[in-house]
Amino acid sequence: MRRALIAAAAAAAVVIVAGCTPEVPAPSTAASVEAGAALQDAQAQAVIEATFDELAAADAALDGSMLGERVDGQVKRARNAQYKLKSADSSVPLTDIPDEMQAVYLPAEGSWPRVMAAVTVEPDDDLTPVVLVWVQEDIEDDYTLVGWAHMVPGATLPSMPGGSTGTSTLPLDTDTIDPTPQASYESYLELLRGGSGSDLDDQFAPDTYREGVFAARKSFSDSAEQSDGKAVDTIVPKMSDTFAIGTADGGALVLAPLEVRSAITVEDAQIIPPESVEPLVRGEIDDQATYTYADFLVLYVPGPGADTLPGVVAADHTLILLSAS
Amino acid sequence: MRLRTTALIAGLFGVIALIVGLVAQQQRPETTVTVGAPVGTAAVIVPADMLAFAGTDGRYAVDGAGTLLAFSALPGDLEAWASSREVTYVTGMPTWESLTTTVQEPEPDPSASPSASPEEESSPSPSPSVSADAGPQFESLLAGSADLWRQSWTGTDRLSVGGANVEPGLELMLTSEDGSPLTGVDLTLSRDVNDAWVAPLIVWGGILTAIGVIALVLLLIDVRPVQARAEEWMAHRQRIGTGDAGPKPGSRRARRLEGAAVPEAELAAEPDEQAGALSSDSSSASDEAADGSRGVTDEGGFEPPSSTSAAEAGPTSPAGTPFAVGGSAPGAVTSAGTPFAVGGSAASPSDPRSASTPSSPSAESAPTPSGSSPEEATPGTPPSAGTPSHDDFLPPAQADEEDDR
Repeated sequence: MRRALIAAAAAAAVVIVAGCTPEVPAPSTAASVEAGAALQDAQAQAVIEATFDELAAADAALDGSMLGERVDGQVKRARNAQYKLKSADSSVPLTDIPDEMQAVYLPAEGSWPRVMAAVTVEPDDDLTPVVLVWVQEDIEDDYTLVGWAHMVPGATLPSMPGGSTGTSTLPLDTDTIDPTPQASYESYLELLRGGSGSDLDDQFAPDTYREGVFAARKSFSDSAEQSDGKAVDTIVPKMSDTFAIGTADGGALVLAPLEVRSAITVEDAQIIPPESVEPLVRGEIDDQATYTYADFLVLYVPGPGADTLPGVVAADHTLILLSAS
Repeated sequence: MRLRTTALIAGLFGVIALIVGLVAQQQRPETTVTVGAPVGTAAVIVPADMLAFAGTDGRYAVDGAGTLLAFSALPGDLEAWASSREVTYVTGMPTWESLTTTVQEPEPDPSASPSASPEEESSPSPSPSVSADAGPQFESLLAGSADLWRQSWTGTDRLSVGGANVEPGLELMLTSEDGSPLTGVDLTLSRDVNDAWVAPLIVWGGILTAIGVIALVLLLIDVRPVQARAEEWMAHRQRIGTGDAGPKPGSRRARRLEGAAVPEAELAAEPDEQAGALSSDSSSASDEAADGSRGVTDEGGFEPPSSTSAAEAGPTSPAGTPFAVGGSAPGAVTSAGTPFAVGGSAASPSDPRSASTPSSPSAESAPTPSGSSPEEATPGTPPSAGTPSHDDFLPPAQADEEDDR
């Protein structure tokens, strides 16, 4: 009797306790990410610091081979040329790129490549702020600084999306912008090729970059004509390395590295390169020389309904090579 | 009897409740549960939904060898990162005992030969063909860019990360630093177990059991004497509580409680028979007459004492008469020795409270308030001579009231 009582009580306890165990929680759905940009401020800052660490190490050694992890593209090419010049003449300054940013445009999540842009504070050389562009080609790749360009005096960068969404990388031929970023960029390249007399000149806002290119071209042409020669500029875009990122107003910024080759040919004369660029000379220059510039443009293409003209807001024009042909 | 039976039944229920409570206490589910699953890959990914499933206090942990790392990242980034790696995904927890996982094989390299079959893929565990000299060689999964990681955690041999520590919407990746396979992943959760009734059940079960035990003990021991004393004591205390501290010493109530006999009232006999009746019925009078202190003879007549002095005879009148003469007042005796007449309702001479003393009022019978002895009595002032006594017997209730006053 007593055993039966104890057994019954124990069984009742077990049954009751089994009923006390709550149900397994139902699967839940996670909230969406508030900070949807691919990089957040801390991550972007880490990228910037790693970039300037590498740049500072290479600058100290004037060794371009130390670049490549975080610094590549046009930046590496331009910096290599500056290292050569500075190695020959220590008084030649390197382009001052402040490591302090006044704005960082974070990349949006999505497909690759992803682009992060930043605007530095004004450099110590009293030039305008520098626009820096990083690109991540793949999830396995680091964000790499591929271009810099000083802002065009008087230009204003458009508003960019914040960190909650980030700045999307747009296809160059996106139909959300008319004309497309690619069409606008190609038109600008045609303007560069055509010169100041081109019909496209009034389709873009004035900028000091093309004025400088046109002025250099006229100088070369004048010098060549004095020796019955000629000067020809060749504009070589690098479309595979050109990206467009969306702006807040629905427009785009085209981040375009390009190469400008200014070839000079003279008759019955010899081209004597300036001594300051002697380290960049490749080959034996006689009556033909080609100046190669590694340029980087930031072209603003307004969004639909905007009443402003497309225009270059930042650009740099850096001599990297003087070759005999 | 009824109370004892109820207590025994309560004790039985108490025993049952105590057993149920103790078994429940022993068997009740834990409020914190850890659910695990074995892992054979170097990386474990906890999707954002499973992090949300863990709630605010859930924690994911992996076990492995050496330094272990954990990172949070955007789902899209982590999916792209994991596409080229063999990873284990935590997919769900269908029961409180199991954590489900699935292993994702790396996507085939587009440059690889399409003839490669899954059977030819290397096992995530170290190959047994590896020689004993050379330890297993692993390749870290962290060789690529680290720009996608938002947060990071580090541990040794075991690494635990709270689900709430990961930003909502992000996913969690846990891996070994050297690429060695992890051994397990587990999720620790807190749950609300409805066991608040166990402790009260044990307490009440214990109380009821104690009551039952007491009743059982009292069943075997006769406690009625103790109970009677207790009830008497309680009644006593109750009287004290109401202001009744008991009879005053010397009061009628006290005397009654002491057992004083209540005399029976007797009707007085006819005058002719009074003497005889008195002589024969009143023992006190006969006794007094026998010792010569009273002037009453056995024959019912009165014989003045011959040699007894007035002082010895009791109170006397100023003229030397032993008794005051006063008509036919009860108790009055004529000086001529005629038998005295008893008026009103005669009472037994032995009743000191109601009898009209036919002879001299002795100290025992006189209703003198002062209770003075015959020697102390004042001559010539007979106590209530000729006046019937009104000191009648009062019923106890009335006497009580009087005493109360």
